[in-house]
Amino acid sequence: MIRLTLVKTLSGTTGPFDLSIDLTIGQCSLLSLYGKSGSGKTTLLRMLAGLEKPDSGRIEVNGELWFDSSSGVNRPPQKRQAGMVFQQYALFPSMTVRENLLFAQDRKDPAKVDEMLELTGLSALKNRQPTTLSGGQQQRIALARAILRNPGILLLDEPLSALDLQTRTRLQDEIHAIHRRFGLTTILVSHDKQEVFKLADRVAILETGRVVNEGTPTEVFLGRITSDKFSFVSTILDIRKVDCIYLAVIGTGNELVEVVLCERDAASLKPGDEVLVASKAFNPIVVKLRDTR
Amino acid sequence: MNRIKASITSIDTSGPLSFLGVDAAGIPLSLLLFDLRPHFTIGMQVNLLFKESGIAIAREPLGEMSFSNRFPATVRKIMMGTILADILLDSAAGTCGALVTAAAVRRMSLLEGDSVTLLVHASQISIEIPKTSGLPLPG
Repeated sequence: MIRLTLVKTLSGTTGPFDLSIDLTIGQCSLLSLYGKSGSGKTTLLRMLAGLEKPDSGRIEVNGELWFDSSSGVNRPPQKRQAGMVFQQYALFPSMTVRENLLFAQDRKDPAKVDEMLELTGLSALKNRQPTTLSGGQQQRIALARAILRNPGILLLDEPLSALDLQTRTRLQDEIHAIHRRFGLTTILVSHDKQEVFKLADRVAILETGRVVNEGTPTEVFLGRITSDKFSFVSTILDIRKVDCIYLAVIGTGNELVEVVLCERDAASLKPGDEVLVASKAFNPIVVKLRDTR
Repeated sequence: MNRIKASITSIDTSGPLSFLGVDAAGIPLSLLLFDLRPHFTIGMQVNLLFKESGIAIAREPLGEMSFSNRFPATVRKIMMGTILADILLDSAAGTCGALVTAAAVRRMSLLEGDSVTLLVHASQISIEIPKTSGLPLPG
């Protein structure tokens, strides 16, 4: 559980404004901070990591006090167990992948590094230098490095925004898997609604330093609460008439699905529209693909 | 997709599974859902969502059947395709669309103006809290 109450005056493009945040983040939760550039998202992460000092407030992470202006507590970054991943990978170019990961550990544990290399599919690249690798691979290393530090909280600041769609989608799946595997309380700054829907269980919308809405992605982005088990936000790519019905091609990430629409649906929908595709838990048919031993 | 207004009248639960009774303009309906959200409470105004392909059209008299939901409607319009028919119906709960095979329409000799009974499985109805309800969202 992370509780934070923070105030800091920031200088915005239209003059100074107060970043004033009061948030509680549940254990193992993945909270996404969503908002325009300059709304204070990155500053909030930097204050959590100890890279910037709030004017006043309190940060409590898993029962430990990291910052408290009233009692003068201000743990330095290295005493905060916050794992950070930025858009820039910030890897040491002269070290190999494995050396980069070993370097991150306070107490060296090569076995754990090797396990992490295996888990993130980096084993084959462990003796390469980061600059010889793709952006997606470098970001995977940065993520592995952050997790190896056994962080009490994982802070992801638009980690995938510099990557192409395919790599981004794959890394989203990996972040999702890692989040479930390690149960790390995570804060993800993102501009990408589909990414937020895919990864976050809560989202907080930041506007000029304040949380203006917080809830599940469906509640916050769609303003409605549905009972459906399977739902994803996606974009209508095409609608064509078939017999007396319509068939819509709907894209989510790089997956495509076809969904039957009636004339009345089709009348209010057009390619490019953002939609929620939902189904009850009763509907999908599950077919085993092959026998497992 | 069909969307009709209703209010929740009863909630029975068994573990994560809930059986909700709702009232849609005097028509009692019921639906199944998992993981009842705290937002869904008795008396709450909701929208019922169900797909046109999840509705069956029947003529009276009906024998006993397992459909939890049956309510009267009148055929307003039939749009025949080669394989499928898109049928628009008026009921006290609102206008509903139903997607059935063209063969079924021919077999039933279904015509505009006919009185029929609509059947919907409790497992095929979703509910949403409408955007306009002014529900105070968290935060």
